[in-house]
Amino acid sequence: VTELRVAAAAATAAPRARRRPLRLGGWPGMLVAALFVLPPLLWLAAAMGEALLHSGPAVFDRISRALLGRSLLLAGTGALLAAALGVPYGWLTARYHLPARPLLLLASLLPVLLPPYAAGYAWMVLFSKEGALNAALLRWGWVRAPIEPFGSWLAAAVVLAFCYWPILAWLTHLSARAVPRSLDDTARLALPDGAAARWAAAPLLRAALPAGALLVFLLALADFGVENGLQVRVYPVEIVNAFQKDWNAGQVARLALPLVAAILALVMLQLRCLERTPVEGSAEPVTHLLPGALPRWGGAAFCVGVLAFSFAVPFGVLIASSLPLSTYPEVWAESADHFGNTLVTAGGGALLAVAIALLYGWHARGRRLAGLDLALTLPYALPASLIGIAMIQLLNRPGLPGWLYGSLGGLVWLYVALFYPFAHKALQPAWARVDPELLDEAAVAGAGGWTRFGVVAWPAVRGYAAAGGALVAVLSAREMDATALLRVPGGDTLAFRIQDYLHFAPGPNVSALCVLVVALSAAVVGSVAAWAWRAEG
Amino acid sequence: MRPFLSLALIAALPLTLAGCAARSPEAEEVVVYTSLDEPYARPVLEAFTRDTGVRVQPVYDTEANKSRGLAQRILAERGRPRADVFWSSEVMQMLSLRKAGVLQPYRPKSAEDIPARYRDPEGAWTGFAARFRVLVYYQPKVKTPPQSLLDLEEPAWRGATVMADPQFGTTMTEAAALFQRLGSDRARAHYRKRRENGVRIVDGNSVAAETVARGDALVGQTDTDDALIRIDQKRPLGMLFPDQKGIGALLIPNTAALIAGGPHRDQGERFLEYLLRPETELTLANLPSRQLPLHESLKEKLPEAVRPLAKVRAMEIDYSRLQERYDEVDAFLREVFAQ
Repeated sequence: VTELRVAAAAATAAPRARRRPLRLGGWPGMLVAALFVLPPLLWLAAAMGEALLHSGPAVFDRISRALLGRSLLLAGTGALLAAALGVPYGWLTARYHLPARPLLLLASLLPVLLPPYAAGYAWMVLFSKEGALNAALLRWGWVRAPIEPFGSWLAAAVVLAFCYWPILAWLTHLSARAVPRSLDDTARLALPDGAAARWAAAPLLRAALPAGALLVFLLALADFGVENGLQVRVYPVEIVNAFQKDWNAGQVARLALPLVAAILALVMLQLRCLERTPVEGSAEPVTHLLPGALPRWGGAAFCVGVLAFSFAVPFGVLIASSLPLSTYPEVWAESADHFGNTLVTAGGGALLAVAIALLYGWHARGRRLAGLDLALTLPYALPASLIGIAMIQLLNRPGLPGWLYGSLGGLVWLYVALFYPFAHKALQPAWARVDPELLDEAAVAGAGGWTRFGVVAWPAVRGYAAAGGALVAVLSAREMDATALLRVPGGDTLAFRIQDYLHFAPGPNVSALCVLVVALSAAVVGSVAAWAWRAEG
Repeated sequence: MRPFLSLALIAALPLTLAGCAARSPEAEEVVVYTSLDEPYARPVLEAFTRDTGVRVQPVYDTEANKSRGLAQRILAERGRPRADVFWSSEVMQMLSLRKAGVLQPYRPKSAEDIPARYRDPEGAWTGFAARFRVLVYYQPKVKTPPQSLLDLEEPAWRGATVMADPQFGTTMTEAAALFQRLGSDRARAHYRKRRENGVRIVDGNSVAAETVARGDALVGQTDTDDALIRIDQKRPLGMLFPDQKGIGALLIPNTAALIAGGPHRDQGERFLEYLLRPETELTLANLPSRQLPLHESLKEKLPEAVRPLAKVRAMEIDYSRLQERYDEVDAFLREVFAQ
């Protein structure tokens, strides 16, 4: 085992030298993944099929058209704005000698810790009609009437862009860093430094940017929290409202059909783009950094400005509006149970999703079933409420499903169904780091399956598993719309409480709850990063 | 195959633990679905647990879907009820559940003192702790507020009024009451005129009150609790009881009922007895929501905070018959306020 460990460490360090497809059958892992993720999708597909076959009012009616138009407009604007922020940020941190460059890169993860609805709430507080900012703008004569984000799809798009630009920044950064140095050097023989860098990176960026922009577009399209807070009527908000009104799941499936059709096409496109996107950098030495004082200081100022508007300002507003400090003990007294429920369900969802993704990956190394891959990835792009509604239909029945329906286990399954795609995608590139020859040698030497997994595969994939788990945990802890539908007696989470208070009586308690969710997310990400750091030496 | 089995076990663990975390078979518990705002319901639920040792597993409604969301959930779960008690903040949805046959008749001894008109004749539900529907106005800009709901049809209030979605909560009950009190034609004309007059529809009564308190609308319809909280906060909000020279202001009691086939019948009955005691009404009266006790025995002992409410002229309504036109009212409101 010790020899195997040494060999595995060597193989992990140079993973690209010996890739080949494995001949293991993948069915057990695929089956488990399918059992957890596909049932709500199958229910949705059946309900929508019935809606299509059923003779009734047109599926794509006036209301659906208006909703789809507004939702697409909002998501498209959000994606464009996110690109305007993220692409320069990623390029500057990848190619220029910015001051505190690693810190700027790390700080770009901060907006991810802020749930979009919390950011939206912070901007609502900042631009409250009676607030200091509007009063100052009016006094200075910069505006004639108070600026208010309420009911504005543009405000929602701006908030979402501030939340999701890091996706485009990181994809741009990774693409720029993946350019082979030799190509960059060759280009500089004929072009100035800046132009050469852009020319050399262009093929990778052409793949990465559409993938990133589409990802942001889809996330914005499925978002509920920001639009619900700002009272913008888009598809995800109307789906929740329509279901709450009558609990008629078939009717909701019919309403959502045009949206789901659009999402399905876009996810297929997004996956194709993502496959051509570099996510691990180049095997060659990285390209050199470009000189220039203007980009250096101007770029740094741009990056700091983006961070300020996307994290520092909204988070600062949340902290300021949560004061006095006595709010926190009060909120804790009211919400300790909710905090516990959030820990149990988000933690359970993350563990389960990663375990399933590991199982799938272990059994399916080298094999891809495109249809299954698409189905397992699809839930991230759907409005979470649709998955929630499907889960209610599946669980609200006698026997084991009914037991899950009445317990936090139902929420755990819901989070797995919703966020498994993130664990799945996070682990997918990791299996290329596992040395198949070493696995074969270990098998010949008599090592059992668990030993082969633990000693050969786990060291190569654990960092990816940790990242995927952290992502699932953070997303589960902040999930709002599906959680509000699949209510468990005594099982409300922090996110649900925020949603309810947002409608009922926004105030310091909402801000304090948002700060708690951010702190929880930071603790999860920080713990996982520290563990991965130690594990990787 | 061993990794498969091991990982499958790991995968099953969170579901099992989460399931067990939510259900401890030894603990006595009661599942209560309630659409009363959580800050006002929670003290009562906690006091019940403190006094009886029975743990309450609550499911609160969201502000935007008041009562209707929970009532629809109870209907969807009728094959395998999960709730023991439904504590509604209004009447209409309780009547729908009664009609659907999902309520378990039960006459709490502690509620015998509550007047019969606030109770179901067959004991399916009991009313208690009432609120009024009120008009709120933005004080800095409204010097002569409207005195009647019907005044809001006038062009003077075009684009200046706000109310919660009338398909939910007490706004729905108010619509049903107007249909009963004014007659179908007049009530229909009222809502059509309100729509033409540009009434803004928002998610819940608290949002309606908040919209007026911010000056985004000049006049709104809401419940006493949502208005009084903001007035206590010194917001520029005025409140008046409408139609004091006419049909009166609508009094909306909370209602509570046992769910037929609920998993904890005994605890459900204990909870209902506790909830409908005069002491609980006093607790609710002394909270910032100031709900008016309905027990006859409390008439002379009303807390200071709710005494003014006892003097308000209330609309004369047959609560148990509000449901008769539910389908008509619901279909009409959907048609008029579909967005």
